[in-house]
Amino acid sequence: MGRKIGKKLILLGMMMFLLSIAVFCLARQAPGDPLQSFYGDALERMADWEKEAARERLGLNDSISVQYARWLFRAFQGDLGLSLRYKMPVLDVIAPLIGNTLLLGTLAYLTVFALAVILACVCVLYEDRLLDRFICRLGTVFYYIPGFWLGVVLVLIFGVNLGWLPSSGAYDIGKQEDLANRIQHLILPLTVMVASHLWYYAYMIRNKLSEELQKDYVLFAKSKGCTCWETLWKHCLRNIAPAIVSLMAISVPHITGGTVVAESVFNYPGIGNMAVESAKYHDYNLLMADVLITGLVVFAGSFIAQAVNEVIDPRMRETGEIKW
Amino acid sequence: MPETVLELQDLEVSFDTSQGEVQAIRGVNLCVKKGEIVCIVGESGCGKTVMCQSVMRLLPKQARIKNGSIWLCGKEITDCSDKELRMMRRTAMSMVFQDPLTTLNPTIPVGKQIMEILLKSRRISRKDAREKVLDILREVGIEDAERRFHLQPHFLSGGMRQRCVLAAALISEPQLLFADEATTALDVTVETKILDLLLEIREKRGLSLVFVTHDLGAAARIADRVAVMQAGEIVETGTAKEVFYAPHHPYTRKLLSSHPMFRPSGIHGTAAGPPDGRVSKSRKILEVQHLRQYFVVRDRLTVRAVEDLSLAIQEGETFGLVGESGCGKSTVARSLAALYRPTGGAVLYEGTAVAGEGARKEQQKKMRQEMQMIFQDSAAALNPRMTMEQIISEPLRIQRPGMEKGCRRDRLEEVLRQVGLPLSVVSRYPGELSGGQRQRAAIARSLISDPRLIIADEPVASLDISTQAQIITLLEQLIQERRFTLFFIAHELSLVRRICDRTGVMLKGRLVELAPTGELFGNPRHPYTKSLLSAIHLPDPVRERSRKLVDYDRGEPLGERMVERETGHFVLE
Repeated sequence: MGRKIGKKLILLGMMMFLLSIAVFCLARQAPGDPLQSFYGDALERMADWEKEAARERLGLNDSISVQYARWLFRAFQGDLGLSLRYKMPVLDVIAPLIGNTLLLGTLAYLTVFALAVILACVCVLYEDRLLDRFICRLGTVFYYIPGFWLGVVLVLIFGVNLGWLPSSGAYDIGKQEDLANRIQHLILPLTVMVASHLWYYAYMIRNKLSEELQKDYVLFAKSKGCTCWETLWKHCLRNIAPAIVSLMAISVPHITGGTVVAESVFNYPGIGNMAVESAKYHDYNLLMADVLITGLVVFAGSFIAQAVNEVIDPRMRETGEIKW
Repeated sequence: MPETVLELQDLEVSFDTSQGEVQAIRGVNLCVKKGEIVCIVGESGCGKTVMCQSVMRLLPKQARIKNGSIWLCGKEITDCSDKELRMMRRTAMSMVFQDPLTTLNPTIPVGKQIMEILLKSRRISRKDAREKVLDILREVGIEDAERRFHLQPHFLSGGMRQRCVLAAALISEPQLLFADEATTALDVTVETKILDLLLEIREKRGLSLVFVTHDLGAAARIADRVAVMQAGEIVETGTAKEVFYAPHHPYTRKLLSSHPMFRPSGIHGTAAGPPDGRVSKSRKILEVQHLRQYFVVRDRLTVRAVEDLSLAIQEGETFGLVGESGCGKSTVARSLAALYRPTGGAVLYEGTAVAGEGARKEQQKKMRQEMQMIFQDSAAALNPRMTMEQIISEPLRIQRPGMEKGCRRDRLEEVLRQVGLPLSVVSRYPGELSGGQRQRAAIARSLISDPRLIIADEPVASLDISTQAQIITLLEQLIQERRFTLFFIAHELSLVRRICDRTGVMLKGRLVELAPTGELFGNPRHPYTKSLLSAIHLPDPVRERSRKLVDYDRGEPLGERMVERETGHFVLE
């Protein structure tokens, strides 16, 4: 077990390293001026030599490799740098946002999979009948509706026209501790995320389940006198649980990507929205920290899923030597 | 007059397919009395499984009962609701399926799977239920039941799993038990034990058994009455003796004559082996020396598939290798073809190493040109996206690249004639051929380059008996005509006896006995061989019933090395 965790940690380190290089280089290839985010409108009134001096001071004139080495060196000392735009340490900028995103992401994640399993079961029980076909078609339609468009439409209907739900933010000002208020703000982003992710997973689980239903042990269970629902619930779902957990593991990046869209549409203060903003304003250090934290979450998610998998499926734990 | 448990009247079942309606059962009448064992024999696709499923109502969705009636314990059940049917399954009837590896749910401990329905159907406490399960596990011959109760199926052997399935079927104390090819997937010695267990349970509980099988030997051992099925109809019924000794219907006769032990004069326990004198005793064509082949599974599991195995195949002989599933036969075949890198030892072709220590690439290339393989499952071994012409002539394209197109075509037509396939198959794909035709095509493919040596890994195991007989006859004929050396793997001893000159017996990755076939069958020395020989089924009810299985204790340590007891007869001691 210790060795396995060691291996995972090495893998994590390598992944973070490659991710940081990629983001570092890509961010600097984008057209635009990072000074814009540092000085804002004041930039237009600055003389060329002033800009040049500012660049020199911020270390933007060095080659990318030197800049990266410097960033890496500081990062190892725990200093991820200052945000150009907010002029404070990036971690201070991000810290309050992480909770918001985790709340939205986790809720969406759990809702998506809980609903996906239920929908899959319903589909399989009515396989190839009207209800199953209707759900599958509905899924196809929703799968192809872009999340951001759906978000805007929902805001128009429920936020602007009906006025039932707030259209942006995570809470009304001054009501940070008010749970009901938070939930109100979560409903729309959550709806968008679930609506655009649910179907894909429901369909995958449905197919997996229907494949499982072809297996001999299902026939055997029925021959013992189990009802359809019992075979489905007690036998099949349990057996495809490892597959569902694996699916959940690889879906972490997918759903994390979904939070970015939902957060920007609803201007929800989370790290996804912040990542988009920081990329837009060339806030390099902030972007780096943001992406690395997201990467860490994705990695941790996959790791947990894998560990859960081994607990569920005893065959994956088998060790030792087969002897005759 | 014992009461009737099951009666089928004019039963018709049809399948709705994209090509329209297909009749699977065409008016079957069958009657099963209390305490009776009725065997339904027939080849795959004849509707025997569908018949069981239509009584159990486990038919696939496309199937429906079109006509006729099913009377179970005096009750008409074709119009029963789902709920009533479930109650029937929980009380009156049960079923045992073919493959114990897939029948049990892999993630749930076997005890729990057996107990599952008990807890639902009766008002019984968990503790009592558990006791009952343990009792039944002991009844079906599972020792150490308390411990095994908590094990997942993959910890148990195939025979053990089939016993558990049987236990689950018996726990509801049914009056009627269906066994759908319940022993087909098991090794021969285990098969006999399960058959005997079924007989014993019948005696004790007085239940009726419908035993579906294509193995006439198994039917001969347990059947009171036999029904022969062909294309959805029962063509002959009668007591076991009537059907086996005095078959009326031509199809029954054809089935009986398909048995490998069958010779035109009848069935003989001592049927002569292949004619002698073909083998040039001096030349070894292929040899393995102290071969060890280990596989490492997922970094932590070492499977010792073959352990210190030495044997030599003489030019022109037919060498048979037998053993239970998982004993390493196929690994030996692939090692002989130099498809693996041996963990230890060497494979020699005409005295020069082709794999293992001191292997030479040129020699390996030479061997590949002069050797071909035939696999068990031709549906998987032939590329489904290639036409038969491409598949069969591929060896020529690779080995004789200079050959002219016309020549190649002539050769193709010649081998097709030899294996008895019509020329029209050349443009078809493997999926469009029947199992027998595909196996013929696989043989044609291996013959086209005119090899000196053919390695055949269970070439008939996946075929129906009558097709099996055709393919074996074809192989015999080809050996006579073409005089190639054949390395033949089988798990069925009767096949080996029919065509092999010498036979080796494998157990747990070791060769335990090696002798000329006649000698091996007449004078087996290793206890395992004796046990295997005692497990051969014959379609002969009187012999079958008196046959006693010689038990072999697997716990016994195997010997150290092969000792020659008589000329050419080696035993591991």
